[in-house]
Amino acid sequence: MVKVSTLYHRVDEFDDNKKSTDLPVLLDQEEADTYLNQILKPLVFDPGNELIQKVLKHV
Amino acid sequence: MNDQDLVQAYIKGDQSAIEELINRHRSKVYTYIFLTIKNQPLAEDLFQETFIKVIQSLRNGKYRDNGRFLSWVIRIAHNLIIDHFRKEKQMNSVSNDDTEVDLFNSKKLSDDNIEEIIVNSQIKSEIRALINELPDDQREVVLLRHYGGLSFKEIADQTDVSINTALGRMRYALINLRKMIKEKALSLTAY
Repeated sequence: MVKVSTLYHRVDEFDDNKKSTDLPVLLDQEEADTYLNQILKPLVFDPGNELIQKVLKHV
Repeated sequence: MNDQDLVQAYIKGDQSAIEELINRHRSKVYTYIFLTIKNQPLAEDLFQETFIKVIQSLRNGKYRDNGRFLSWVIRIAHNLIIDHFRKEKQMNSVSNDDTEVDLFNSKKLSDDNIEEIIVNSQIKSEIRALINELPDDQREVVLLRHYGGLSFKEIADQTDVSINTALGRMRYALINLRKMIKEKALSLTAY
């Protein structure tokens, strides 16, 4: 008599991808903002007064 | 005065209010545009166009004040950038990278001392390189969030994806940034 293990039961319709796309992405927004602020804070460029004056001509 | 008060003052005819608003947000808006398109002359043009459109919209009563003036300005800038690239694609013109100007050699920094300029330049250069290495969709979310203060719902609307996708892009951007900082052995404490 041959014994067949049910542990290796094959499921043809199982789709991991469909399930995972419905799950909300976990992101701690406060932590993300703090981290970005830490990295990007020094990365600021100024357009210069000359350019601002050009814009203000349109006011 | 907060942004909302200044907007109302400008709409009522106070010209100095718009000057104050522009000066308050000039660096964030300009940095957002410059980091997105990586071209100084073009960034200057789009910066001008953005604020001209802001002024026109305020005059025409097209701005619905919800206390998020900067986010609104950044969305206008974002749309103008997209319009520019659409036009450029149609014209099949050359890459912007060829005309990139080194901001760190700009005369605008001439009042600072040399050592400070060099340190600032190195730091900015390193961070800018990190941002540039991110995939476009991740960089877009990072810049809209940090410089524009957009919510993830607004980012999702602006970039035409689901909130989940916008959150996912941010999550991967942070993973990539952490990884790059570790690999390049950059020290954030210096910043």
